Amino acid sequence: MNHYVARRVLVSIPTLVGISVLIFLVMRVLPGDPVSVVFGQESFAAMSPADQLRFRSELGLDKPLYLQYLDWVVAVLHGDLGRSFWQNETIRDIILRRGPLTAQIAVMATLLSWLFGVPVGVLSAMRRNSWQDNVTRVFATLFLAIPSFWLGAIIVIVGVLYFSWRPPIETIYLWSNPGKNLEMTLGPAIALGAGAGAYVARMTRSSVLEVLHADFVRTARAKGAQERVVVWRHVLANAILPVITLSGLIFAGLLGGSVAVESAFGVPGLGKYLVDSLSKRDYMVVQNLVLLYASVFTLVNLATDLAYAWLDPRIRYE
Amino acid sequence: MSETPTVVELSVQSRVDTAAVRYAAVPPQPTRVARRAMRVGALAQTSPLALLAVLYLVGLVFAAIFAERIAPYDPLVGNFAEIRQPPSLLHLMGTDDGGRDVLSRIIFGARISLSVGFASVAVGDLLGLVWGLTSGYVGRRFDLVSQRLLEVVLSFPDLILGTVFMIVLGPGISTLIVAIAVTRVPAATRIIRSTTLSVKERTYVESARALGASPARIMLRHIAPQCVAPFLIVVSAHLGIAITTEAALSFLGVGVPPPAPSWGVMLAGVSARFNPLWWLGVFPGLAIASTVLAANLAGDSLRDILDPQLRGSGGSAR
Amino acid sequence: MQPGSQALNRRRFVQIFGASFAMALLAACSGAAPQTAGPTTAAGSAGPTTAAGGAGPTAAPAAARNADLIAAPEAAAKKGGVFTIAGPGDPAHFDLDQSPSLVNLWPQSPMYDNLIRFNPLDGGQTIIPDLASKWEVSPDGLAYTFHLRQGVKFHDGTPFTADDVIATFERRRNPPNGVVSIRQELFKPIQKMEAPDPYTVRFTLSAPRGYFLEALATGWSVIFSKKSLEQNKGDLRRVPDSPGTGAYRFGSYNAGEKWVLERNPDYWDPNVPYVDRMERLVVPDQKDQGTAVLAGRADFADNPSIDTHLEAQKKPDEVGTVLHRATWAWTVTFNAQKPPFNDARVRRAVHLAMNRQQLSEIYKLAGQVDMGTRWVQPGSPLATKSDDVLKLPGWRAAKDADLAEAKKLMAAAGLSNGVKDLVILNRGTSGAGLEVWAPAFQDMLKQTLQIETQIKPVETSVYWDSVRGGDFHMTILQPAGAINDPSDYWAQWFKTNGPQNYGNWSNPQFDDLLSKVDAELDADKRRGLVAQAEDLLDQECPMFMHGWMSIPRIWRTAVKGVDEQHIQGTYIVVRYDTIWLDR
Repeated sequence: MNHYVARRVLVSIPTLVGISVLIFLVMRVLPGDPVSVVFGQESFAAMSPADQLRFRSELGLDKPLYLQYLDWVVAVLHGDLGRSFWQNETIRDIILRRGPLTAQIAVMATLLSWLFGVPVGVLSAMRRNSWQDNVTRVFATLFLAIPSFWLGAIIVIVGVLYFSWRPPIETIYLWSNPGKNLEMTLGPAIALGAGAGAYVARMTRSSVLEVLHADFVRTARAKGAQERVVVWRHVLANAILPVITLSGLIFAGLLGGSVAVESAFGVPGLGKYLVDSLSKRDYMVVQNLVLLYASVFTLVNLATDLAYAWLDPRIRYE
Repeated sequence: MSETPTVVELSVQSRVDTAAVRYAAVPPQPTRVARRAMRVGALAQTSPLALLAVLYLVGLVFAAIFAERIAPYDPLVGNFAEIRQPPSLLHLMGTDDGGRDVLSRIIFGARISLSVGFASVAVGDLLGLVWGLTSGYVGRRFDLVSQRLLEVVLSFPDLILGTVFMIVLGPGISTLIVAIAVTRVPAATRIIRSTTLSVKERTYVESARALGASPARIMLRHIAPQCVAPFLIVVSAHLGIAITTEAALSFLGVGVPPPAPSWGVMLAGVSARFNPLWWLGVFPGLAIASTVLAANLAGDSLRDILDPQLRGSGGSAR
Repeated sequence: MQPGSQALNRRRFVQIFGASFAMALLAACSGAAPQTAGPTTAAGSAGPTTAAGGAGPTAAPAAARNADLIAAPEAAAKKGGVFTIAGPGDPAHFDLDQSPSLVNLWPQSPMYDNLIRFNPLDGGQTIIPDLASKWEVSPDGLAYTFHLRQGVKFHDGTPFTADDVIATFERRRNPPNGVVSIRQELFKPIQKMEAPDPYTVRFTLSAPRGYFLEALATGWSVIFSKKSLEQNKGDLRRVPDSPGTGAYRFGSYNAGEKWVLERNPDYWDPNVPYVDRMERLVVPDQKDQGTAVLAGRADFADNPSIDTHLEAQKKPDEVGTVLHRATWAWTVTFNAQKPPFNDARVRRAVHLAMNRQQLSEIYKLAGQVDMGTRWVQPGSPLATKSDDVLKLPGWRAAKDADLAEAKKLMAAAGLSNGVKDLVILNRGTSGAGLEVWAPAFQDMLKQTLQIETQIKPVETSVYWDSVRGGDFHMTILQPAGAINDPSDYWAQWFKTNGPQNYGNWSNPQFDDLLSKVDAELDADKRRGLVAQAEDLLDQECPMFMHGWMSIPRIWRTAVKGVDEQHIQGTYIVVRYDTIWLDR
C-alpha cells in the first residue's frame, strides 16, 4: 500500500510540472501587449518607445522565456503569486479573498449531490423496474442533460421575479453572516449539485445493483439475515466505493463548472475572476489561477485514488 | 466484453466453407451484424424513448439544414418596434432586446450547436482513436510520454481548458471546434488505448505478428475493428458534452461571438438585467437540454446495441 | 449572414458576424490640447461663466454663506451620517495623472482640491475659487496669476504653499522617466511657473490658450503635496493615500471591496463636508450599481445601467434619477486611407443617409445617445444649439432629401451599386453595442446605400494593434474628451497624426482652423471659428458621429446638496463635498 501511495504521489509531480509549463507557454502565446492593456490604448500610444520598453521590463516581460518561467515557478513556491496587472492587490490576497466562496460552493454542491443522489440511487436499485425506479431514472437522465449554468439562470430569473433576490455586491463569508452568505451561495450550489446528483444517483444505482447480486450478499441472505441488515451493512459498504471516487471527480469538476455558474449568479468567486482576467489579458492572474485549478484537480484525483485504494481491500494488501 | 471475437468467429467470417466443415460441432450462430440488427429492432420496441430521441436529432438536423425555410423570421435582423415581447402568436417564443424572433434564432442556433458538436467530437475522438491505437500498440516510450501528456491535459477542467484555447485562438466556429475537440481527446485516447491493450494480446493478433504482418497492417486490420464499438460509444457520450461545452463557452463570451444565434449566447444576457425576460432564459436552455438529452438517450441505446453488458451502468466516458 | 444565398453550401458553418461594442464607458481617453472658451478675470466672488452662447441653461450660482466658500444650497442642511456609493472603484494603480479612467477619478478625487473648480451647485457651468481665492489673466492671455488661500494644510499636516502647485504641475507637464502624464498636452504650453511669494503662483504660457482655466478646473487637475511627490519619486501608482487638501481624507481601501473616506475636520471651508464618512462600495457591474440604490443598499450610483434608471423613474418617492451629459460620443471612424472611404463624398453619404434618431431609439435600452448634438460636446458653450443642429442635413430627422443627396454622392463616387465586403472593426467582443447597435447600423448601411459589411469584434487588448494595421474600413468607438472643450478632443481625433486619429484623416484646412481655435481668446470669435470647423467636419466627415452620450445617476431621495439636473460633463462634478443626508 505504501508502495502504491509513494508511486502515485511521485507520478503527480511531473504532471504538475507539465501543467505549469503548458499554462506558461499558452499565456505567452496570447496576442496583445499587456502594457497597452494596463495603460489603455490611448496612453500606450502616447508613450514614448523608451517608456513602453521601461514598462515592459517593469512587468518582467523582456527577459527570455525560460527565465520568466523559472522566476514564476520560484515565486510560486515561495507563496508569492505576483500582482495583477489591473489591481493593486496581490494575487494571493485576491485568491484568499475570493477562493473561500468558490470552495464553499463546490463543497456545498458535492454534499447536495450526495444528499440527492445516494438515497435516490439506493431506492431505485432496491425497487428495480418499479415506477419509483423509472421515475428516478427519468429525472436523473433529465438532470444530466440540463446545463448547470442554465439551471442557474432559471434560478436567478425565478429569484428576481418572485423572491426579490438581487445579486450580491459585497463578499460575505459563511462565518460572518450565514444568512446573507447562503443567499449568495445556495443558488449556485443547487445549480451545480443537481447535475452532479444525477451522476451520483446513476452510479449508486448501478453499483448497488451489482453488489445486490453478488455472491456474498446471496450468502448473507441465505443465512437469513434481515433485509435491512443486508442492505445497510453489505451492499452500501461495497457500493459506496465507486461513489466516493466519482465524488472526488465531481468535486474537481465542479471547480471548473462553477466558472459558468458564478457568472450566471454574479458571485464574486474565483471562476468569475478567471473569466474577467482572461478577457483583460491579465497574464499573471490567469497563469496562477489556472495553475491553482489544475493543481487542485490533480490533488483531488490523487486523494480520490488513495482513498479508493485504502477503502478497497483488494488493493490495500497488494 | 462479450463482443470480443473468438478465433472461432473470425474464421467463420473469413472462410465460410472451411469453417462450416471444421466447426460443425458449434451450433450455427447468427453473424454479429445480424445479432445487432435484431437488437435494434427489439430495442425500438421496448424503448420507444430512444427511437424518439433519434428521430428528434434527425429532425433537428433537418431543421438546421432547412433553417431558412422553416424559421419564420431572419435571426439576425430585428424589428425594433417589437423588442422584448413575451411569447405571442406573432412570435411564438417572444423577441429579444434587438427585436429578433427567438424561435428563429433557436432554429438557426441548431446549426451552430450541431455542427460544432459533431465536428468537435469527430475531430477529437478520431484523433483519440488514432493516438490511442498507436499508443496502445506501440507502447514503450511513446506510450509513456503520451500518458503523461494526457494526464496534464486532463488536469484542467474542461471549461477552463476550452476558455484558454478560445482566448488564444480567437473567436470563431473553427477555433471553437478545435478548442472543444482538445477537451475530448484524452478520454477517447484512454478508452481506445485500453481496448487496444486488451486486444493486443489476443492469439490471432499474435499469430498475425508471427506471420510477419507489419504493425500498421495489424493495427488496421485486426485491432481497429475491435475499437469501432468503443469508439462509437465514446462518440455518443461525448456529443452531449460537446454541445454543452459549446453553449457554456458561448455563455461566457469566449465561444461563438454575438450576434450569432448560438444557444449559449442567447442565455448570456438574461441574468444581467434588472427585470429578466423569462422567455430569453427558458427557450434557449430548453433547446440545449433537449438536444443533449436526445443525444444521451440515443447514445445510451447505441451502447445497449453494441454492448449489452454495459447497460445501466451510467457509463464513465468522461 | 445572407440567408438563402448560402443555405445549402455553408449550412454547416454559419458565417458569423461579429459586431462588438463594449460599452467602454470607462475607456476615457486622454486629453490633448484642451481649450476653454474665453478669458476669465476673477474677482473675489464666484467666478465668471465660460463664454457666451453656451448650450444649456446657466443656473445662478448657489448662495454661499461666505462669498467664496461653498456650501449646500439648502439652508437647513444637516450634518452627519454615512454616504454610501455603489460604483466602479477597483483601479490598476492610484496615480490620478497616469489614469484616463473614472475608476480612479471617482474614488480618489474627493480627497483633493484644485486651484479652481467647476461649481457643483450649478452642474459645473461656472468656475469658482478653490485653493486659489482669486486670480487674474493678463490681457494678452499669456500670464495667469493665482492668489492662494493661507492656512490650508494637507491631511498629513504639511502646510500648503505655491511650491506644491508648482511641483504638481511640473510633474503634469513634464513627467519623470517611467511616469505617463495622460493629460500632458493640456499643460505643455506652460512655459514658466513662478512663485513670487509662498501664496502666489504665476503661469506664463508660450502662446495664448483659451482653454487654460478649464484645464485647471477639470476634476483631474488636483493638487498634490510636493513632499509626497518627492517621497515617491514622482510616481504615485502604489500610493492610494497621497495626502490632499480636500474635504475628505483617506480612511481605508479594501481592494475590490470598499473605499472609506473620512470627513476632514480641518478643512479650510468650514461649511463642508456634511457627512461623517463616505463609503464607496466597489461594484463593477452597472446593473448591480443601480440595483443597489433601488434596493436601499446604497445611497448613490454614479453610472448605473439604463434599465435601472428606467426602473428608478417609476419610484419618484424613493429615488431620484436623471440623465446627464457625458464627455464621450458614439462614433464610427472611417479609414480615410482606404477606398471607399478615402473619398469624402462616400463618407458624407453615410453621414446623410444614416437615421440617427432611429439608431438612438434602437439603442435606448442600453444607452442614451443624444440627438441634436454635433461635433462639439453639448455641455460646452461652443456647441451649436441643439435646435439648430436638428435643422441641418444629416442630423435632422426628416430623411428624404438627405437620402437623395446621399445617393447622388455615391453615384458621383462611382458607387451607385453599392460596395461589398467592407470590414467594421468593433472594439470589444461583447456588449449591447455589438449585439444591438452594430447590426442595426450594418443593416441601415445596406438598405440605404447598398454598402455590405462584415462586423469584426476584436478584444480590447488587441484592438490597438488591429487599428494600426489599418485592416478595416470602419471602426466603432466611444472616444472621450478629457474636458468639454473641442480643442482637446479634436486634436486627438481629427488633427493630422492625432493620437486617436485612427482613420488617419488629414485636412490642412481643418488643422489651420484648429490652431486658430486653440489660440483665440475672444469668446465670440472663438465661437465663430468653431462653427466654421463644424461646417467643415460636416462636409468632410472623418467619422460618422452618431451623437454625444448621456449617462444616468440614481440617488435615494434623502441625498441632497448636488445639482443633478444640469451636469455638463463626466469629469466636472466629482467631489461630493456638498452632499448631505436628510435622515
